[in-house]
Amino acid sequence: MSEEYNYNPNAQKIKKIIGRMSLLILLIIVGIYFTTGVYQINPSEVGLVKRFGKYVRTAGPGINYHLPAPFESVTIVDILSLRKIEIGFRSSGVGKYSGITKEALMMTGDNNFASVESAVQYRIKDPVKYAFKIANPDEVVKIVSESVIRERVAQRTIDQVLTSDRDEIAIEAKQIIQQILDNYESGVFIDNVKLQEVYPPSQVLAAFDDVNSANQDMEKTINTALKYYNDVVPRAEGEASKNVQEAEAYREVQILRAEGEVTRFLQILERYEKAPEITKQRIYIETMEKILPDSKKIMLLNENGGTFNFLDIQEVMKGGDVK
Amino acid sequence: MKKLIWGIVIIVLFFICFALFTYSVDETKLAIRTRFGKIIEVNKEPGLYFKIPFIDQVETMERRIMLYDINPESILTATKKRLEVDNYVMWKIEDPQLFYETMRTLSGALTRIDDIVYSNLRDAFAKLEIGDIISEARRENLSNITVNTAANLAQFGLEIVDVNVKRTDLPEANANAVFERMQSERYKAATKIRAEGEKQAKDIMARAEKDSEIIMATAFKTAEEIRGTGDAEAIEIYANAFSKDPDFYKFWRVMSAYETSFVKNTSIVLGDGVQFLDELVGGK
Repeated sequence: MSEEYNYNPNAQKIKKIIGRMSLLILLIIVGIYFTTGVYQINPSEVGLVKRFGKYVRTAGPGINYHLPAPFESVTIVDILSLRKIEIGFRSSGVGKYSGITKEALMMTGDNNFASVESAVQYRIKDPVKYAFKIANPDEVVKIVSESVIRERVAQRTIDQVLTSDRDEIAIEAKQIIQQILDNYESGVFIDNVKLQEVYPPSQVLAAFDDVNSANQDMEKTINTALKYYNDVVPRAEGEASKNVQEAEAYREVQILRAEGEVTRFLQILERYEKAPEITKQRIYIETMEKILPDSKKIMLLNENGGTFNFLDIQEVMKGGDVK
Repeated sequence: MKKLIWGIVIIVLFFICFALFTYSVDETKLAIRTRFGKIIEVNKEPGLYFKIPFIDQVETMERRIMLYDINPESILTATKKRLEVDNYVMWKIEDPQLFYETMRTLSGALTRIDDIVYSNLRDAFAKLEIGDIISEARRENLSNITVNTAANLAQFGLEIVDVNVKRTDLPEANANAVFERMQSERYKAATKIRAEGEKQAKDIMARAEKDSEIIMATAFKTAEEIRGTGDAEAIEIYANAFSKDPDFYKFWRVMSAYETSFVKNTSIVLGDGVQFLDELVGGK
């Protein structure tokens, strides 16, 4: 008994240590329990804090605290990052890309098909709605976008879709998708809708290319003809101008010659009138003098022209003087 | 020491009781509390609610708007053309009690939605042409379908937010026919374009011939006119001068004509009548 009593102070001490240690452990457990309420919000995110499942407040970026389970919990939503859905193709990593034929194929208003590849970029404008009002919001964005783009494409002919109306389709689609998603209380903001590749379906691509080459052929044919025109007409114009110039030259020549001749004649006439007979004689003789030296001469000196009858004309014409 | 133990016990008991006697309804959920299969409480709002442990059962269901992407269905149009219509429904549980009593499960609800949307869609599209179905006109029809479907499904506690068409497709065989038609249309267009090119080219070339001929002829006409005026003016100049003494002119003109006519080596037969030889002949 006394021995037992001797042990007593030690036992008391041990009891105390155990007591203190369990208090410490308890405090540590309680501390750990409360630290489970610490959470971090990244700069692009917000935290939606729920108490007993009910949304109570929104927390901004930084280190935040909520009461530990089962009292409070947090749902973190990335509101600033741009999200993207792809219709008719999937890009996997940088520069990697694969088309999805069936999804891209869209019916146009004139009962044709066009392949339309588009991308829709969106953000979250209302995290509370995005997190709590709609299930699978990203899937909803995709299905609504596809529906609206198809519908917009169906409003147009294939030629409009392939050429002029691409931007218009994108603008209209953006507006309508936004309207529908607002109606679903999705909390999503459509940043932009882009029609990336719009082309005829592969089954008819060759035929469409043929139209393009036909256009080029047409241009080529017309250009060849224009080349011919530009060759022929200026030549004709040149020829025409030459003709006219020649005629003008002819006119001037005719007039100048006439004036020249007339001047000469008038001067001669003036002298002639002073002594008509003498001058006439003189002119005649001078002329003969001028022309006869260079000519072959056949003279017939018979008074009554008898010799002329015996002259062999043939021989004369052949050449050789006849005396 | 004892206090501490009691403290622990109280805390543990608190958590146990909390778990047994309360339940939380999440922001995204609806809940129904039943006792022996009988509905005791309907929780449409999130938050903390009480229950009796082991006796009460809590069923939760989705509070959010849900997307149901219905499998493509074949539909006949007004002209008995087959069309594959792929549509989707946005819906939510409006009345949890009604839903719980009539549907119970999500898959049951989806089957019901499927049936009703299909029958409404089939009825509406059977009055339309393909053109109306894929075009602007479908919007009105779709909102009618939404209204009808909503009316049909209200009795099951469901709210239909929207019924929409994701895509309309022609069956495979028809699609091939469309491709063939597109192809032939394009080839036809290409042929026409080429012919148009030929036509324009021929036109331009003919115009080139025409223009150049007209230009030449016009020039000819102008040239002849100019020549004519030259001739006329020359004649007038001559006439004015020569009329002063026609006889002398004639003589003088003949003389100068001799000068130009008798070129070198011309054979000239000189008879005795020639004035130039008068002296020669006369002297004999």
